[in-house]
Amino acid sequence: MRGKGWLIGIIVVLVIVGGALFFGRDTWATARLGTVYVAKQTCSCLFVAGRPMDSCRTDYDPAAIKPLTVEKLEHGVKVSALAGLVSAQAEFEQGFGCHPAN
Amino acid sequence: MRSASWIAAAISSCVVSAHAELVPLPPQPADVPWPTSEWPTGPMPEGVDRAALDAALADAFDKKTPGLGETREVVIIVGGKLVHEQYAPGYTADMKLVSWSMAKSITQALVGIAVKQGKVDIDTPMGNPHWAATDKRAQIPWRTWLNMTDGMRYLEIEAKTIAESDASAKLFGAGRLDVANYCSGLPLIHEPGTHWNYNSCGIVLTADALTRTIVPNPESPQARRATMLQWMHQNLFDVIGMKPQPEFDAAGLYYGSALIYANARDFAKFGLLYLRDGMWDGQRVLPEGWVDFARTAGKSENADIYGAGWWVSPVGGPGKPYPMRIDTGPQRDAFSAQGFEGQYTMVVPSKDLIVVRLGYTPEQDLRTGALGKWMGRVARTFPAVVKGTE
Repeated sequence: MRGKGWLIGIIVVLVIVGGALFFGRDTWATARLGTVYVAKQTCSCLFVAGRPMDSCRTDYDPAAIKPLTVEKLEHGVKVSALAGLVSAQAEFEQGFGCHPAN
Repeated sequence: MRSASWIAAAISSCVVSAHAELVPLPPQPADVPWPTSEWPTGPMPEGVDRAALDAALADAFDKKTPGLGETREVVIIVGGKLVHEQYAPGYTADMKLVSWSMAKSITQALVGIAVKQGKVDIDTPMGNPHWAATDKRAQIPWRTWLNMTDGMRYLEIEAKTIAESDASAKLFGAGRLDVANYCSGLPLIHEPGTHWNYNSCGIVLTADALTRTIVPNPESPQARRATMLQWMHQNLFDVIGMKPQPEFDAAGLYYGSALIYANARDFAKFGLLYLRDGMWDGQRVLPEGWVDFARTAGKSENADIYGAGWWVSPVGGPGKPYPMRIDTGPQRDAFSAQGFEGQYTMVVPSKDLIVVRLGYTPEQDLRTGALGKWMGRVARTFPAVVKGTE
């Protein structure tokens, strides 16, 4: 009886984890794309266009950028989301602009 | 010999009739200097509906007009002179803003220059190192890629989510470190040359093929991009006095389909090169007929509003399938470079007019077609000036 309880417990956990992975896969993929997008475009905005960070933030839907942490580096930009679980970095090279670095 | 000359005459006749509807491209007025270093300025010409133009500009810059989003820079050129420029607070004349897909039109120019130099024949297969000679994709000519009738399975304009868009994936997802590698992996789903589909990857692959032509054996990605950038400057940007910043991926490829930064005045110089039929200050920069190639819709069964690297507005067609057509009046002769979030360089030969609009218009607003209508509204405030189009 006790063994059966364990089995049900494991199945429930697997269903929850599987469901989260299945239904969250688009969220994860979108978060990953979003961090790379914001890192690259903010890098270009700051280093190529020469706009200030406040101005660069107006290039995005306010609701979409709100959960992102955007950090200006010496030669690029780092963006993280989902408490740091997802992050991306863009690099600026003089004369060649910005590109995703990871 | 006689039959050969008859065939040649027939081909020539077909070429002429294919271009018969095109409005002639006006030459630079003799008394107007070329803007290689500075734009000559002038007053708003006679015949402009000034009240209507002012109202249109006010709508664009007030950020309240539905569908227009935020206009940041507008430059208007008439008869080779800068007659109006306007910048939103925080934006200046020397600030370089993103082209997004207006870069496709610049790639079309760069291919044209390679054609003029004898380095490329656009009616030969373009190829890619990832494709075997027997691969059907390897047989597609440069012309077909530039017309976007390649038949590749590529999803951008009709993508319902960011995650399913190939545009996002190639620049910011799986392809972010090597965009050409991502694009070369897409399969064909249509017979090449028959079906139009907006294909940014096709232009990335074109940029890649052009770069391999100009820089065949680079020692490193750094050497590849440095040599290519130098070639771009020597043959295009420096010639017309443009100071853009093309961006390069980690593999040393300029993105080709997007991501060239320039200010509105410089995009207007690029527009002038096309308005003047590829001529600049007495020098032929683009091959003869190259601008007509750009502004003539490619052969496809499902679309009539895309030429080669440029959007067109053919008189005879309904403007399908997307709301990209710009209605500038009865001539419908505008052709335009267009980019994501509402970037426009519009060239109107009958009015000797160029309008550049840079800004931020969210995708859902762009899909309404309001901004394209606004571009047409601005153009219609200017009179036709080219003989035969008044």
